[in-house]
Amino acid sequence: ASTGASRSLAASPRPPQGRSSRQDKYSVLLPTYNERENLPLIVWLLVKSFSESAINYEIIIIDDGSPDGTREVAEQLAEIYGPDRILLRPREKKLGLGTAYIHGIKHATGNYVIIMDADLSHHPKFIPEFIRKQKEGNFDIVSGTRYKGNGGVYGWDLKRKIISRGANFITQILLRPGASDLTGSFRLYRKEVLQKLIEKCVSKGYVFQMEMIVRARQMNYTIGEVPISFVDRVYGESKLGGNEIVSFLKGLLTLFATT
Amino acid sequence: MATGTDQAVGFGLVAVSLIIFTYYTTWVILLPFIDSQHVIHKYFLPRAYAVLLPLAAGLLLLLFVGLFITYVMLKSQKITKKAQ
Repeated sequence: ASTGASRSLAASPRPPQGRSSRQDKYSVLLPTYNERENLPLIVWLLVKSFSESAINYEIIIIDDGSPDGTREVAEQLAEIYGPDRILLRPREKKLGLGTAYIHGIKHATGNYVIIMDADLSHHPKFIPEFIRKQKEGNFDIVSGTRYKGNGGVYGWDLKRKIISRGANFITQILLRPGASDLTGSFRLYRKEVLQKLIEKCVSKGYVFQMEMIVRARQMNYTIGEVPISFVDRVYGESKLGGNEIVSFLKGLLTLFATT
Repeated sequence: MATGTDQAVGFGLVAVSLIIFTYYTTWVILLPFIDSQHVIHKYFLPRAYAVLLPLAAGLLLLLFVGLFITYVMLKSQKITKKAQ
């Protein structure tokens, strides 16, 4: 199957675009925890959209010791698609998102890194748009946004939408970040930019993604945006209670005071 | 994406804020230039309320936010105590 993938790469000659994408390599970081059902689907979709647009890629799966056997599933996927395409970099236990990215970058061989959720809330079909956008403006970061153009959210109730909009509004006023979606986590980074940003970031949870963009602004990196549609996870709860709101506010104020 | 009710609520919010904005602007900026005998003055409260009402609303908002945060923090404290 791995030869099949590389054959389809060579078989579609697209003169200008093909040449530049052969030099560039895109590493997708997929941090997983109990994503046994979703992982094969997301990997299939990723491989499909990458090979359709003849992009050189690798997928790095960082599994945090899921008890549901996500790791075994990932091993099988690596066999199917080839160990040069799917890389397994598991860790023993749940250590958090920020460290998962640091761990993943260490093993990434691409010059661009794409981070996304493995729970199917981010569709890989947007990745070619990210790449096109990046080339268009030579951006350091391309961020997916739910708040512009055709972007949007599926599967949220009214209360959640209002809270999300409200949080975004307050953040826009306080931090002036220069990007419309701060808490989204579907983004493309230059590898060295992501490396530098992660070193600087201290917060966790929702605030982590926000801090990345705010620090990027502070360090004068350029940010491009692509509208995406976000689909809330069908299974499993995605939590938003009083605690999340309060810790979000705390993080917001910390960022406001420190940047 | 945007279901019917969500969209209705959104438009409602925008409409309400537009109405408040125009009403308050007339009240505070235009009325001082209109003759005090004019009928339009019947539709507005004395000007002192133009300061008092927003002040009260702001205080209420602050109170609500404060109560919410204390409630959440107290609750999470209880949970950690139980866990220990």
